[in-house]
Amino acid sequence: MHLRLVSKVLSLLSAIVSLSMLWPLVWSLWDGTSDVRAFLLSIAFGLALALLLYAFGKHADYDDLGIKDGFVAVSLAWVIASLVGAMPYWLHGTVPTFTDAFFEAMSGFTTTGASVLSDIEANPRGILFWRDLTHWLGGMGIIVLSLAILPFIGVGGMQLYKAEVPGPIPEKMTPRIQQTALYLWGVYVLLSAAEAVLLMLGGMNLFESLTHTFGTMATGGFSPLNKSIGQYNSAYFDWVITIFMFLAGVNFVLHYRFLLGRWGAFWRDEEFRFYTVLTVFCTLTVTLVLRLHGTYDSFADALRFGAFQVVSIITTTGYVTADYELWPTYTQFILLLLMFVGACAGSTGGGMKNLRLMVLARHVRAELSSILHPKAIVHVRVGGKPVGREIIASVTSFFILYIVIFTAGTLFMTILDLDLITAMSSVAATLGNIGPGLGGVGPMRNYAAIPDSGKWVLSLFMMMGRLELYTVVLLLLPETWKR
Amino acid sequence: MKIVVVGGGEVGYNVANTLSEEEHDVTVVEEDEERADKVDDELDVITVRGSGARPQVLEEAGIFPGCDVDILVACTDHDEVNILACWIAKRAGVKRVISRARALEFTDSPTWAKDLGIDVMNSPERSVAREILELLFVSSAVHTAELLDGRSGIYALRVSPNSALVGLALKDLRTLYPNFIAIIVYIERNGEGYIPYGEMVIQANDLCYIVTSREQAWKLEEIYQMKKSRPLKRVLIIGGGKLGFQVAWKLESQFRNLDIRLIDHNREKCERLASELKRTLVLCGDGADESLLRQEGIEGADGLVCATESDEANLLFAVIGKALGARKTIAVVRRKIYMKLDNYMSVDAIVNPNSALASVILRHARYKSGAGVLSIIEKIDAEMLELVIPAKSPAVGRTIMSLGMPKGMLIALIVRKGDVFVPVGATVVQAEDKVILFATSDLMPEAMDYLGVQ
Repeated sequence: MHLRLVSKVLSLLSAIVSLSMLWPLVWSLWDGTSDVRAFLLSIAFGLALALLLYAFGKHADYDDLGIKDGFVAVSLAWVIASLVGAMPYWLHGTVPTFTDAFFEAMSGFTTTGASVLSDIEANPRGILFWRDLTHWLGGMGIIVLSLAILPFIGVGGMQLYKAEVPGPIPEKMTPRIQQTALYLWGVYVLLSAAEAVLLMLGGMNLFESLTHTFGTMATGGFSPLNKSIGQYNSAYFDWVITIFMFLAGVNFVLHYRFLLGRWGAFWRDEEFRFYTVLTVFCTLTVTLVLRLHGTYDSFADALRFGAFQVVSIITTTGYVTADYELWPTYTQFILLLLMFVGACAGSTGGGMKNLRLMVLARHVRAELSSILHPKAIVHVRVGGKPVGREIIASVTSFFILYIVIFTAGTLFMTILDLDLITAMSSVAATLGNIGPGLGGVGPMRNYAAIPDSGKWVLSLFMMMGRLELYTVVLLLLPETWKR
Repeated sequence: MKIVVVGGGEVGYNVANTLSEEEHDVTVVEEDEERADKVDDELDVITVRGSGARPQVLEEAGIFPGCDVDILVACTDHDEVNILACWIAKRAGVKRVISRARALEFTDSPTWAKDLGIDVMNSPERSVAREILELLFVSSAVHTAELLDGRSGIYALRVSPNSALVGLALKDLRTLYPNFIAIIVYIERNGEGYIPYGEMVIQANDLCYIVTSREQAWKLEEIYQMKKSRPLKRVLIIGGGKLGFQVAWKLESQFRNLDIRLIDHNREKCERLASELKRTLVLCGDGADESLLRQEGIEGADGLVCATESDEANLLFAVIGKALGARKTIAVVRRKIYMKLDNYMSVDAIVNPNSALASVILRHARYKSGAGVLSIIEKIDAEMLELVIPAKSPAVGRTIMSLGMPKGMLIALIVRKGDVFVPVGATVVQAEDKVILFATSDLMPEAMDYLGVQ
């Protein structure tokens, strides 16, 4: 563990986060609202923290960055980002306690979208913009952003990249890590611009189209409106956002290849096919049940609301256009299951990821056939290529760890005297970075009523979910902190 | 530049590491899962898993007709794979292909590689065998490398405290030894390296890298170490692999009356060696067998070359040999980390075919074909290039002094119409001169600009 080196990396992060507050500050100054002071103080706090961390670690050498340092630096980076990011909410008095402010910031950066704000629209635009900007920064990853814009991180960047990018096998699109990070962000910005333009063409104003774009592309879920996207009651907005949520849940490497002119990039990818088929199947079955049940009068409406909710949950975005708590139980259970599935590896979405589930299912299949044919050598394949034993082992233990954390978390939430549905779904919705759950944290309600200790634990789960368990769980091992 | 490195072993790893640090886009092709994982974990490159001899694998690494890969470096342990990878790459339009050749037959004739369409083919065993010979020949040299096809060489010698050189400024060297044509190109002092300049004063225990002609190399010992050079009488070699054989064979052809003894534990190999080597006494036995070593005259032997397949064995044999009284022990290692051990173990010299190869490959990758590339001593962070001065170079017709080259670069030798000489400040540079340019790695491009070489 090179503590000074970690401190140096963290100083960069703190600086990036505080400087990105200049953007919401522009809205505040434009509107002349009361949050100007909060943003100025937050920026000063963030920069002072950056200086302090830098002073401690300025002599450290980036080349020394080892595996442990990578994990520690990335985990702490998200803590620091949330700490600095919580300042505006706290200083402005958006929320009553620092716990709430930290929860809201962590929920933003991890693209969860779980909120403690009840009357969202009562807040100034600067604060609302900041909520969604944290989504957007966290979506593609703050570490990946710093790798892209700060060339001097050097070889150690690979360790940081691996610790932050979701998926069992982080892919590099180009030989150099900095270029990869730059292209990932490039694709991200491009898709975001496309969505913002489409929303504006539909008549949404600049502020709302930007915030909703940030919330969509990062698969976040914060909206500046009290009733989320449902407030517009517009089929056009619903479909545009459905499509872009779906795209944000796709591995960004595929977007990159597609944009390079390899038109077959999407369909050739087995995980993408799995993700598409799963999404389409769930949408159709939910639509059918909704229509048969008479929840909606026309098939078109059933499809529109069914698709939006299904895509929103599977990509772990968490935007809502309907109160699915009023839906038939079957559809609610489908949504609950999708909370665990999540999006594709290498996307901005959370959850366990389709790729892991594919590997698991095929591993089970391989086990079965090796029982029938004891002498057979059976390989698990994804995309035609055999998956290595270590990867299968890592995916299996990821699955177990996920279930264990989910169970332990639910147990903890029941100790806080929440009802079973609320306890379970709040853990599932934060660990999967979705946001809205069921029951007390359902789509029309929020997390304000959860006790403080519960909010801290859920904040930890959001971070675990975003960094895919291992990175954060390793922090809890004493070995990590030894030399 | 886009560079594909086939093979992620000791050589490939180091080449890929250096090239990616120099901000090139590097793709490594490696078949072995463990090696590929190591490259993946530690280097900022893309790894492609599979055999470099298969077109599909190379295509995945970006080699297909019309691709924009600049260089392919093939450095696996298998010549067949290397040659095939180079051939496929060349047909796909890769600008330069560089191959390692383990079997020396491939580099015996210079046309072999050309016929295969390979731009550079290098057998480190050959150059390392020559280096070992030089080390034996100039017995106090710690490192050596040859220049200009063996007509000159670079020798590293330590200045002994009683040498007349101590306290002398470099510019006065020539007046003290007017007939000795040599130039110090690099001085290592307390672990730091310097490209010298005229006012620099030599201190005791400096490690000086000296360029001189082979005929005069024997004088170096007298000047730097204050001891008489003595002709080689007896050399022992442990390990009859490719390198051991090369050394014995070269020693046979260069020294008429030398007593050469080669020890290997494999009987079959010994039989074959005995039939191929005419004057070498081939002994079948263990390199750590004390009575065998004593019996065969390790005590007082002028050299002990340890060249088995195992790095660790070589280092230990060298230490044992030294303890038993060999005058100079040389260990062959292939792993980079062992290169520094001569500071901690009583081994006189350590040579490394892999890093020799890596440095040759790197220089070929860095500089375009116009600049001849020289084998260089791997330990120092300076480079040496063999260049021909073009007719329209700004340096033509001017004295070296008037070029105003800054510290950190110097012209070590000039070859003009077959004559080799060390230039002085007043030497006028002429077109078509072949010069040996010496500079630190970061200054080399600037130094080439001074001479008008691209």
